[in-house]
Amino acid sequence: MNVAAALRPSREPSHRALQRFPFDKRATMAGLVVAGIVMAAALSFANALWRVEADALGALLRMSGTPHSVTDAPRDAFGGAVAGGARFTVPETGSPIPRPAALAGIGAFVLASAVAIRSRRVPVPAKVLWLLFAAIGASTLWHTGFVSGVPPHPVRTMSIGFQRGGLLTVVVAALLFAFEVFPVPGRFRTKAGWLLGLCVFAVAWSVVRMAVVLATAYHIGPWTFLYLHYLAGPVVDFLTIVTFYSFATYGLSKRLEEAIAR
Amino acid sequence: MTPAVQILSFVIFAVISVYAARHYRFLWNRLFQRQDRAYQDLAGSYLPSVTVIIPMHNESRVAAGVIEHLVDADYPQELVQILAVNDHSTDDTAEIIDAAASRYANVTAVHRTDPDEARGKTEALKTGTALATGEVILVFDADYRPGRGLLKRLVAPFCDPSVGAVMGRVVPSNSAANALTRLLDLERAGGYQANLQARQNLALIVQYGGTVGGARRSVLDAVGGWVTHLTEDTDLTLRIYLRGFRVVYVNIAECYEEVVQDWAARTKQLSRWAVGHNTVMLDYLWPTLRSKLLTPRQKIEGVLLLGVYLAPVLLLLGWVASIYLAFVSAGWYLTVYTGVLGSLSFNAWGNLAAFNEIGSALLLDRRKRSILLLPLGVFSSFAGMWICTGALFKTIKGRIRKTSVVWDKTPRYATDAPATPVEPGGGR
Repeated sequence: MNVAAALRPSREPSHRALQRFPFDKRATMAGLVVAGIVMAAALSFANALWRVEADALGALLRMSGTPHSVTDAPRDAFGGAVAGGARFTVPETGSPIPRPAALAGIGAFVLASAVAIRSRRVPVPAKVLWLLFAAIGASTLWHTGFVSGVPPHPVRTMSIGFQRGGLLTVVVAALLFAFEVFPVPGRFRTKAGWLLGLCVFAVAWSVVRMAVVLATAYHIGPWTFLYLHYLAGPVVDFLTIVTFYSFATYGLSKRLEEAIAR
Repeated sequence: MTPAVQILSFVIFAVISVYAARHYRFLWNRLFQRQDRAYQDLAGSYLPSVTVIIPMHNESRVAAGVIEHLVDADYPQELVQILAVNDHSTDDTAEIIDAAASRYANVTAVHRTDPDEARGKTEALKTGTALATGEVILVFDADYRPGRGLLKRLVAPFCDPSVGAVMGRVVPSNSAANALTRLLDLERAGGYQANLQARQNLALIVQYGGTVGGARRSVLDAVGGWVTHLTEDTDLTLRIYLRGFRVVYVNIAECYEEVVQDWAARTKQLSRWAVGHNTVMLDYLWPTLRSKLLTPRQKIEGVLLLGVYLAPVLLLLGWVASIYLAFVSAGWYLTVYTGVLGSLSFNAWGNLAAFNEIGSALLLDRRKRSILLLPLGVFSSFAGMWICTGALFKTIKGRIRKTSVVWDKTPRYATDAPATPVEPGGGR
C-alpha cells in the first residue's frame, strides 16, 4: 500500500454517494409543532368539521337525486368511546340476488380469474388488482346468495367519523410529514403548504367518497358498496398521501443543491 | 373464526410495523447522519491483484461491452485477470470472448461445454474461481458496464483484514425504456442509495449482491467457496458474517446494468430471488440467532433481512383477512385502514425499499422529476405480493420434494449504456 498517498487528505469533491442533509433542529421542531397543531385541531374541532361534512354530503346527495335521512348518533369509532357525526341512511332498494344468479356470478369471477392468472398478456399488477376485485365481488355474491340474503355490512347507512370523515388520514399525513418532510432542508411554506393541501384533499375526498357510496347503493345496488368503500377507501388514501409526499419532496428538491452537506 | 382472523391481521400489522420502523431508522440515518466512506480515501492506494469473473450464458449482445470496459479500467492491467466464463452458450458468446482473449493478454476465455456438467451462474463461478490467481475475486454480470475507476473503489475496503466481501451500487442504464424499467429504477435507487448505505453506516448486515462486488479469495475459501444456490450471493453473505468477517457496501462504486423490460421476465427474476432468499432463510435463521460472532443488532437485522421476501406474503394474507373482516363487520375498517396503509407504506415498492426511502434516495441523487413517479410504485407493490407468494409455495414444494434449483436466465436487451458512471459531484 502507498501509505503516503493514503495519508493525504482526500481531494475528491463531494459525491452523491457520500452526501447527506444537514440536520436542521429548528425545521424538525417546526415539523413536530405543525404536526401537533394539525392533530390537536383534528381532534378538537372534529364535531365542527363533521357538521360541515354532513352539510356537504347532504348537498351532494340532493344533487345526485338520492333520498336520505339524517340522524345524529353516537358512533363506535374506537371501541365506543368517541361520539361521531351525522348518520346518513338511504332507502332500501334492489332485490335479493337469487341463488342461481349468485352462483353464475361467482363462476364468472372464478373463470375470469383463471384466465387472468394464466394469460401472459395481463401484467402482474393488473392480475393482482383483478384478483382483489374478484375476491370482493365473489364473496359478496356468496354472502348475499347463500348466507344472509343481504349484502354484508350496513350498506344503506353511513356515519361520519374519524376514519370516514378523513381525520385519520390527516393524522397519518401529519406524522409522516413531521418526520420525513419537515426535517429535509427547504422552505417551511413549501412543506406546510403541501401538508395543508393533503389535509384539505383528504377531507374533501372523504365527503365525495361517502356521497358516491351512498348514491351508488341507492341507484345501482348495495353490492357495489364494498368495491367503492374498500378499494376507494384506504388504497386511495394511501395513494393520496404518497402523491402529496412526492409533490412536497419535488418542491424541496428544487432548492436542495446548496443545502447538501458532506 | 372471526377473533382468530382479527388476531392474525393485527399480528401481520405488528410485523409490518417492525419492518416500517426498520426502514424509518435507515431513512433517518441516510438523510442526516454521518456517512461511512467505505475506505474510499484509500482508493487507488491499495492495489491487490484482482480476478474478475464474468459468467456468461448466451450473452452475445453484451459480452464484448463488459470486457472492453474492464480492459479500459483505471487499474494496473498486470494486476487484473479477466475470466470470461462461457457456460454452455448456444449463440456467438464463445467466439466473442475468444476474440477478446486473443486481443488482450489478461483476458482468458473459459468454456464450459461438457453436456454432463451442472450449469448456472454458481457453477461458472466455481470454474472461474478454480482458475483465479488474484487475491480478490470480483464478479460482474455480462450486461454490466463498469466505469474506469470502479475496480479501485471496489478493492479499497480489502485493505482491512476483517472485510470478506464488497458490494457496489447498481444503477439501471435502460430506465427510460418503459414504465416497468422506470419503476425498477426507483426501487434500485431506494435499495442502494438509502437502504444499503444505511446498513453500512449502522454496521448491520450488508448484503453482497452477486455482481458489482466480490470476495477476498482467502475468505471465500475459508467459508467454503461458492455454493450452488439460486441466490448464491445471499448465501455467501450469511456465511461470511457467521465466520466473523463482514461485507462492505461501496455506494460510490456505481455500475450500470440493464433491468428487465417486461413483466414476464420480472416475474421470473423476482420469483428466483424470492425462492433463493427463502431457502437461505430456512438454512441460516437458526445459525444467525445462535451466532456468537454477530452483535445483537446484527442478529435482529439478520432475521428481518432473511424474512424480507415473506413480508409481501404477509401483506397479501392481511388483505384477504381484511376482506373477511369486512364481511362479518368485525370492526373491519380500522383494521383494514391501518393494515393497508401500513403494509403499502412498507412494501412500496419492491422488497427492500419503502417509498420514503426511494423519495430520499431520489433527493440525494437530485433526480427531481423521478420523484413524481413515486405513486406509480403501487403497481410494483401489487406485483411483489403476488410473485413472492408464489415463490413461497415454490420454496416449500422444493423443500418437500428436494428438487434441484432451476436457473431462469434474465433476458438481455443491449441498450446503449453510458460508458462511465456519474463522476464525483454530479447527479444524473
